[in-house]
Amino acid sequence: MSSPYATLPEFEYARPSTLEEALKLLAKYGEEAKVLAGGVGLITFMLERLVSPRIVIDIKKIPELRRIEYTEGKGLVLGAAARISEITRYMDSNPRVREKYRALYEALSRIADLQIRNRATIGGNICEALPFMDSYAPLALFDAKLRIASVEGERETTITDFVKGPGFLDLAPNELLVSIELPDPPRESRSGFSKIVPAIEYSVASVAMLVANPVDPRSREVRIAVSAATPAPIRVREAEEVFRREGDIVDLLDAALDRMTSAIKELVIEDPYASAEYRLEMLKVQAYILFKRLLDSFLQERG
Amino acid sequence: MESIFSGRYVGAPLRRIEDERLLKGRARFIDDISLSGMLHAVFVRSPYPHAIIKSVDVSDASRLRGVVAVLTYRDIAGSIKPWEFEVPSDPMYPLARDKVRYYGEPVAVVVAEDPYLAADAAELVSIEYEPLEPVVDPLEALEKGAPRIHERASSNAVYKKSYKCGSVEDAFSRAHVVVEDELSMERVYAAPMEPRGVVAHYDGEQLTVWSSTQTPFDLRDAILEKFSDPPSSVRVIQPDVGGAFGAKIPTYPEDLVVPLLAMKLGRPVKWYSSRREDFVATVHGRDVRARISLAATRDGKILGIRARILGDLGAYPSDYWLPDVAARILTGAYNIRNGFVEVLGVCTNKTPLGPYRGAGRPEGIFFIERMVDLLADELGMDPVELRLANMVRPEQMPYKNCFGFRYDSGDYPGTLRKAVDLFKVKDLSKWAREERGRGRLVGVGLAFYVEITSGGPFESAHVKLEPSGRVSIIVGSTPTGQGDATGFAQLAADILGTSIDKIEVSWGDTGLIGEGVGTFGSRTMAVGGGAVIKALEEIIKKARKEAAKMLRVGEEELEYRKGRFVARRSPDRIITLLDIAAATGGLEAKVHYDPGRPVYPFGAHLAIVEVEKDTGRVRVLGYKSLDDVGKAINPLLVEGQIVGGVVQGLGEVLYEQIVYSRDGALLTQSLSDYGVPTALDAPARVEVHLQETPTHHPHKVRGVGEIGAIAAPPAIARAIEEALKPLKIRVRKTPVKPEEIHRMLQQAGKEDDV
Ligand SMILES: Cc1cc2nc3c(=O)[nH]c(=O)nc-3n(C[C@H](O)[C@H](O)[C@H](O)COP(=O)(O)OP(=O)(O)OC[C@H]3O[C@@H](n4cnc5c(N)ncnc54)[C@H](O)[C@@H]3O)c2cc1C
Repeated sequence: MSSPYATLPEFEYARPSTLEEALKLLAKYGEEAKVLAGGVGLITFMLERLVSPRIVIDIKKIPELRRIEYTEGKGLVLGAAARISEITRYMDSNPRVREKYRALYEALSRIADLQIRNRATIGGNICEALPFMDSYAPLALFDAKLRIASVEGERETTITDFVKGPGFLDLAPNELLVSIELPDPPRESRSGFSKIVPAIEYSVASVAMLVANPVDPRSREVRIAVSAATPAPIRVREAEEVFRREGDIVDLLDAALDRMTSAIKELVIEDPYASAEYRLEMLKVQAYILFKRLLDSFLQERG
Repeated sequence: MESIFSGRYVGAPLRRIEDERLLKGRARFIDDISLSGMLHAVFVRSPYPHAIIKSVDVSDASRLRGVVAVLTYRDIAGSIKPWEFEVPSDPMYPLARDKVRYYGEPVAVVVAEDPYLAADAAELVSIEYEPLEPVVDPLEALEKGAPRIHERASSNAVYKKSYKCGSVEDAFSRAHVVVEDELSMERVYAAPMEPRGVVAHYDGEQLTVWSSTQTPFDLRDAILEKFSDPPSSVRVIQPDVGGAFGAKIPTYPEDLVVPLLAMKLGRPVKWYSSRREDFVATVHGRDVRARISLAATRDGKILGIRARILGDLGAYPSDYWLPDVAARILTGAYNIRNGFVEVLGVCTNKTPLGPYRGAGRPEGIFFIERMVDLLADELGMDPVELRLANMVRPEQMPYKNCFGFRYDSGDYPGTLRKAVDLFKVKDLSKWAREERGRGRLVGVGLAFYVEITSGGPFESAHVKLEPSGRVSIIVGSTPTGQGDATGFAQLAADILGTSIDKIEVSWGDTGLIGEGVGTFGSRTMAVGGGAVIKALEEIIKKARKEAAKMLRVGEEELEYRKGRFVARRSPDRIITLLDIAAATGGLEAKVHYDPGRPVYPFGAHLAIVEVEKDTGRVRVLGYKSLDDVGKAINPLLVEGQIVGGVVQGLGEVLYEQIVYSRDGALLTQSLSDYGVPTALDAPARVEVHLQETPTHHPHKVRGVGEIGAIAAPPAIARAIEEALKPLKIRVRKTPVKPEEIHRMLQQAGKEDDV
């Protein structure tokens, strides 16, 4: 056991004010640099000597990275350094946006506590790369596009391609996550998020779900994404496909959840906090409850 | 002396006089202490739970600029004597000598100009270990061929004892019903808000030590006793302490090493633990399991009890007595006259076990209350009726229980009946039944406890009534957030007939008061309060002498009331304490108060819980308590203690669990892996009822610090079982996690289908 630290190691600190500057620093220092957004994760990791960067690059003062914008038809754009509480506050003052991305709102507003949400950023949450990060399932659900930049240029990826497993991202040392773009969800859709937090701090099984046009078999759409129970987030398309079959949407749920089980069973985490069996069961239970809740909200609207 | 209960303060729910400094940020906790030229220590700890230390190379660490010293066992061997325990075991060295026995045992210490450097240098200390096979499971530790932890002990079961009364064989052979079960309480961590820390300063003559401790007098004595060349004077100061819960009773290796460093280096030294470090370096609690059987007649008379209690003491058996307390309180509030209990204390490669709020009583009471509920279910009897039928009756008091504890006084059946009324148990149970009929899994659980407080050997107080009328009270008690100073001030203000803001209470400094014992075991208001009263009585006695002289009447002529002496036959002859103090240059008294026999608080607690069917999550919806705490000097403080204890108990039943991997690494080393309950987990309100059966203490106090933690686990456990009726689900251990409840629900569901 390395000694338990209450103190940080020494490091250099840079606070670029443009994206370009930040990317140059990253290009120069590569592996020896660490990006600092809210610092909620990074500072803890440094205290515990899990990382000891030579230079810490603080990206909070780059205006471009703090964006929170919704444009009709284009969707929601979140700068990587937008704080969790800024995003939920933005949504609170734009209820239409909040309802469009309800699952994201529900996930973000239940991260830790207000103090943490006031510091933590969406990009930091994504890049911390632990299975239980609450942004994962909703981002998978909304087909979020992640924009990644380096001095060499830009590329676009998805959350499921980006997050490979615990502590493991498809991100080169000279790259930075710049923004997250969530296209408009299908019209007339409802979404929600649910997680199970037993005694410990974090979720052991999280589900995000979206339902659109439930009564019309041709245009209806159901999306399911899971995280926390699996090493990386998963969009469970096998289960979603079941809802393209003929028949009443309600009657398809069991078959869809069975498909979900067989699709992810092998991947579910087993550790001292929860067994694989419980995690899988909790994914199903939550998917079931979410599904009912979303359908009910359609009925209420019409009723 | 006149009654101390006729004044305006005692019995009033006053806000704490301690709070202003705390709320205004003027408190001084260990990490707030900074001395000029202070160095910082970081301990290098074993990454192995069990290993031989082959070699230690400190050269790289020592070479780092700013590092002042790197010490290992060899450097301090001649300076500090190791701990020898009362049961067969090898000594514990302040820095491990040739063997480490738990993950996190200190092996070396680095001292540097700043804590950053010390931490970095600690990384460079290179220690070569030869790993030995560890044993973390106490049952495996008992097996033949298990790795031996102490060479001087013939087995890992270092403590063995048994207690009995009556004839168990006979009781069990006469029984119509025998119930048997295996129960356990998990290993937990006290998780005080402030981890431990020590600062020491040596000026060439006096050694001054600040430690986040409950026992500054023990620490001073340990330094005087264990240092081969002790300083001529030692002063130990307990600064503000951010919670302790028993885990800050022991004197720890760091408590000795840091002062030694200050002496050796001639500069002040500070060590302040991180949370991660505190998880390995501070004692854990509970970790006791039991196999118990109860023998009873068909109509519910308990005839006998048989039990084996096994405590996992961790690496060093410093607190081997913990499972013993659990064993001896095992008959709870019940009149069981035939019993046999065998206690085993077993060493394993884990952080040493130590006291944690309740220290043995929560375990014993959890066991007996769970067994009584099981018997009630087996007999199809109402658990309340079964309890009433078996309780020690008031006319049996004082009552010596089967295993030797002597309960002082109290009407247990009367108290339980009163609780059933106050709590509206009938209405609640009806409500729960109806809700269950509608598919909600709600349940109501009740538990009754007896426990022991106000232990010896003594407590001290030094009271001064200044000529100005100010009163200074210095106590040997060492509260760590309970608010006892307020209670002491209430006692003093009423006895002296003065205003509470004339009174100042100080504690936690061996330089202020030479001898004292400390705050633990719910003893402070009872024993420390007793000392304060005794000192005040002495002051009044001295004042009476003076008053007699000044008024020229006989001492016996004088009546003392509310701060003044009046001559009985000539009521115009009056003199106040203040006048006497002014005339005599002040009055003072230094006393030791011997509490005599312990006293036994008792009471009933009720929990209302809801289980979420789909997930197994449990929510405590409501909670009620009726406790006989004797006189409540300050009911607000009492309520605070009960609520806090209940929430800690709730944490134990629902969340808290220290987890070691099979190879001996501690997996729960942060508050994100170890679930401590927060305000969000607590019921919105705890309905506290108090009852007062006097004790032999002058102020009739019984003690209150631990009862919540003792009563909540069995009450909540029962409520969970009730919520899951009619399924026959048993809560056999703490914690009972959502996953386990979920699994039990599913299993029960399957059996139902068959
Ligand atoms: C007490 C506590 C409770 C918590 N509870 C929850 C919870 O309930 N749910 C949950 O999801 N999380 C929880 N967390 C985790 C927390 O949400 C994350 O630590 C936080 O979101 C990280 O964001 P940050 O901005 O502080 O990131 P930082 O700490 O600044 O960075 C985290 C990591 O990401 C990297 N990074 C940051 N931004 C970028 C970028 N733009 N491009 C590339 N790399 C980047 C950093 O280098 C670092 O490695 C909890 C944390 C704590 C301490």
